[in-house]
Amino acid sequence: MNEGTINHKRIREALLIRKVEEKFLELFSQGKLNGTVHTCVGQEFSAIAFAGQLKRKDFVFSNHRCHGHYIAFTNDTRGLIAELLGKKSGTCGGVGSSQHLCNENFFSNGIQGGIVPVAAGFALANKLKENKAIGVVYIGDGTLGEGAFYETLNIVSKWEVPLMVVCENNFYAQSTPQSVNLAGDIMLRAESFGIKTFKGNTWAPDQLLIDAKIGIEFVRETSKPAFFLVETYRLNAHSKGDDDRSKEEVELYKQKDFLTLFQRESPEYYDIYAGEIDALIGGYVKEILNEEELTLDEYFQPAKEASSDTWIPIESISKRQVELINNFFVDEMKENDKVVFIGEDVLSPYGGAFKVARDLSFIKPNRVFSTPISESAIVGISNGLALNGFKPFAEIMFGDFMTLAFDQIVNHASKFHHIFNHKVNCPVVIRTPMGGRRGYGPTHSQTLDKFLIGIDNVLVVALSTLIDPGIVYQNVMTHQHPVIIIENKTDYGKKILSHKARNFVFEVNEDRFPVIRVRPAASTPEITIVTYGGMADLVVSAIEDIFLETDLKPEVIILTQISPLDNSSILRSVIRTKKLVIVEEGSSEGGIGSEVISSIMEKLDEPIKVRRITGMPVPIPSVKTLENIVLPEKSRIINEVKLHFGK
Amino acid sequence: MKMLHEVRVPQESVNDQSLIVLDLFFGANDIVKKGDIIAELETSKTTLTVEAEKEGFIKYFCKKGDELIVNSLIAQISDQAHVSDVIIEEGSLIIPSKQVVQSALAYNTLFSSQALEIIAANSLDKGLFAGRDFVSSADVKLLLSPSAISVPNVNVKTISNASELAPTGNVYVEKVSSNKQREIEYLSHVQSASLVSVINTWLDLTGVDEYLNSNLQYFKETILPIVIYECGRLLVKHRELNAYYFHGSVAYYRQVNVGFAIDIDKGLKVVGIRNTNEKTIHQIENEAFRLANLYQDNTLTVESLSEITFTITDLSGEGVFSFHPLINRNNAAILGISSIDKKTKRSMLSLAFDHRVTEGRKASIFLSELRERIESYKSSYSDDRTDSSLVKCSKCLKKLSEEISDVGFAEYIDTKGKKGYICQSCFKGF
Repeated sequence: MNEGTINHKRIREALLIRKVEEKFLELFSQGKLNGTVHTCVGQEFSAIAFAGQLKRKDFVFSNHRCHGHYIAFTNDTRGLIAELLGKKSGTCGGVGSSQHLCNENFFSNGIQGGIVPVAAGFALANKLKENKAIGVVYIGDGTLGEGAFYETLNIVSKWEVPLMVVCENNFYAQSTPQSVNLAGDIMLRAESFGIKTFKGNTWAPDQLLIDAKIGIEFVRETSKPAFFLVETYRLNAHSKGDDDRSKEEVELYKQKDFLTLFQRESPEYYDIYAGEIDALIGGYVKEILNEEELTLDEYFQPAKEASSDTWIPIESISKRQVELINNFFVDEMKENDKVVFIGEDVLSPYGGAFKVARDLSFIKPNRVFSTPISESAIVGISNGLALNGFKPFAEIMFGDFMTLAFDQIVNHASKFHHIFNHKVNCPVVIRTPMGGRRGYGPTHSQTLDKFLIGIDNVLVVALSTLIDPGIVYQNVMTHQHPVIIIENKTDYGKKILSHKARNFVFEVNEDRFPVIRVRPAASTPEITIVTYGGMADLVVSAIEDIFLETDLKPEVIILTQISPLDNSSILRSVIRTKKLVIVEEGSSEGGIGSEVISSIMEKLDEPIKVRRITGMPVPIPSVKTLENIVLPEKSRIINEVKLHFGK
Repeated sequence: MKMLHEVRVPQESVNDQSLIVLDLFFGANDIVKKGDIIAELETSKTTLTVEAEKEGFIKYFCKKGDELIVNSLIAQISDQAHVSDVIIEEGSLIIPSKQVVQSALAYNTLFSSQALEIIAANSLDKGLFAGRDFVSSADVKLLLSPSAISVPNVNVKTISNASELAPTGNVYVEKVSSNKQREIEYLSHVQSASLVSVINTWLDLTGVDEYLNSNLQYFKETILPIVIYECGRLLVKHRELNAYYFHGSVAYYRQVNVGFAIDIDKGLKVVGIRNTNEKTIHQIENEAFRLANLYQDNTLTVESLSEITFTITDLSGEGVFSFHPLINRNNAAILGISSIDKKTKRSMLSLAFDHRVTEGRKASIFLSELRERIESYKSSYSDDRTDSSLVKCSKCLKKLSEEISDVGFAEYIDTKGKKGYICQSCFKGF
């Protein structure tokens, strides 16, 4: 049996995939599958040609139509069936089900296009490890509408990432034919990025296997990407009943289908194989239906960490914040091969828009990647690097651009650990500067923190001028899950605790991401002011005046970790003061303050007086005077406290 | 290395924000066991020891003679020997140098604008609040209100070298009149800083000793318990002697805590009896006896040594005829008891008082009322003397011991022939 040619073993594999898919449809119609199922009946040889011809060290990223790819790569039919039946013995404990599979180097996710940059990152990690492993990412022709795909093609071509993109063209995006939503030529898309292209189809599986093998070897030998267009046809609906294609058209392809032809031409072999496979699958299903499901405790354990109540004084550091962040990276780059710095304009001598990356590419040229303007790909590639053993630090040049990377944060980084039933961690770090007061106007001044909190499994920390960023970064280094670090443009140039307000004590607790407390040296505090990030510097600089003018002795609690929120330090203060103010730069509705206040109120037996002092709900104007009014500033903070809490 | 325990300076007294390290009992990296005494500290009133709460290797963050502020680090106990001093010093809370301590103690007080308005309206001296970090309108109002019910624990840091302590929630203040202020200035020219005057009176103790012998358990030879008892009641009326002068105002204590000086070979200590005016003579005697024993055992608590509002010094056992007692810090007066002359049964009572707070005539009234009260313990009277805490007005239920006028209660028989007592005010409206 020669590699790369059709033979009975491969035909039997294809039949196994088809029989499993048909079993899923049967189980679905019996109500035994929870959710939906997308089958690849008719497309099996695409799975066998690529996923089936990779080496064990290689990897596959797939999409919603992934069962065939999974079986071809892992040969784990039982794990797949148990997964779709929602059982603990499923490949992901039943959590991921049809669209979200993970087994060693196989990954799939149900978001169109989003897996492409993640696969690119995974492949880049292999290249950095110099292990000659390559990867295949499967997309459909429907995915050609997604921007992340093009961001990634550009980058993998430029950086020569060993990734094979296989586009399974079945001529329909769900129910919509290509004539409605696809312009131009598919092959030219890849060619225009300078990527080597291949083409084949599943009706000539013999040739497809040969060409796929050539493509795989090309990627492995040249360490460059390739694009393989596979024309195919799915003989069933997109999902179950959603099929408006003409019966004649479907029938035409059914007659062309290789397994149909095989059944017709070699019925005796077909019957033997089909009989064996039916018995195998039937046996699995019978066993699995009696198995246990995952329990909540096995799936999810809520965090029990309580914020420390041991406080030590903070020391001033006579260095600018940006210098301290840069020092951290310089040290890590020198010592740690796993650290990757990735973002726009980050190469030295420029060193990033805010100079955090200064000199890093001089120190470790092959660990610093300057990207095109492609936020989705920056974070997606970082996700892939993180899944494949690296510690990537992705820089999003302005916090406003985080929206462009949102899918990668919410649907990928956040999800992998849980949907793959704890098999993987994604320790990606995304850093970005937020905040106004530089006159940059509506799209370069926002504080979008409120959109970043409450994302499952994603830790959000905010630097301030009261804490050594090195401490925060050291602890981010060891965190095994995604972290978003919110920095502040105007804080970068400031020194750490350069001014201590008179008669206040500046302390920090022993949390991993410490809470900072500024309290009256001897008096009992009378009002609790919570803030974080860039607002901390402003609030602390106003704290003396807040007392002088409001007649209330303030205690300021500055959060470093803003999500998930541990409010114990705030609670301890509020129990004494019965007055809570939160100052944040973003607008109030659905903000950090809303979360702080509601979480505090849940723990109190009696109502207390609360107030949010926030940015106004309008785009931030470039006009200096207006910008200063729209964002919370000193006199507004004092006036609002006076108005709402005055004696 | 895992840090097991941090030993910090305990907050033992409202008035002490810093303590002096008298002795350290281990060397660096010695192994200490749970319960070992690792340091001895001195407060302004007493000494206290600090114990290890865990077993492990010790590292001190102070040396003998250092002045440490409350809650600062004395020592750390770890599960391994401390390797490098440099590493440990980082992030710790040492304030070993005297200079640093003092700058940390002396706040440049911040007054809120509302506080400043009230201070101006009452023409108070801002020095009244010396030592505080922040002064809000509520803080000013508290000091001005004699009737404050809930007294918050106002934390005031000691100012180095200050002879007087700034007032806290335990007192209320009244600005001295401008006449009095002029008088103070006028007299100060001659008398320098303090304006202390002493008055004396003879006390006729004929028959009183019989009362002492038959009614007291521990104190047979001294009139100290009854002097404490009567002073406690009189001071409610004579509030200016239960006070002290501070920055142009008089700070009046909200409680009466009469203290007495003890000096029996273990150094002079003044110990206090809290809420003296609410205690019976037997309670006072028991308390005084208990404190004297604690003094002997060196186990006096800081509480019994702090916030004494009026002091009595008893030298009756020393054969003195008369002496000039010295007023304690944050007091306006001190009462001295001299020896009882065996032939004449007379003893001299001497009252030293701060002329800035009160004056000779008022002090004399106090002293003469005190004399009358003590002389009334004569045996003829004491035979049928009733414990005043047991006598109640049957109408308003006020106890005789709560009566501050000199009139006392009247005994009566009701229409059913039942005997009872009635107080002066109920009698008038009876």
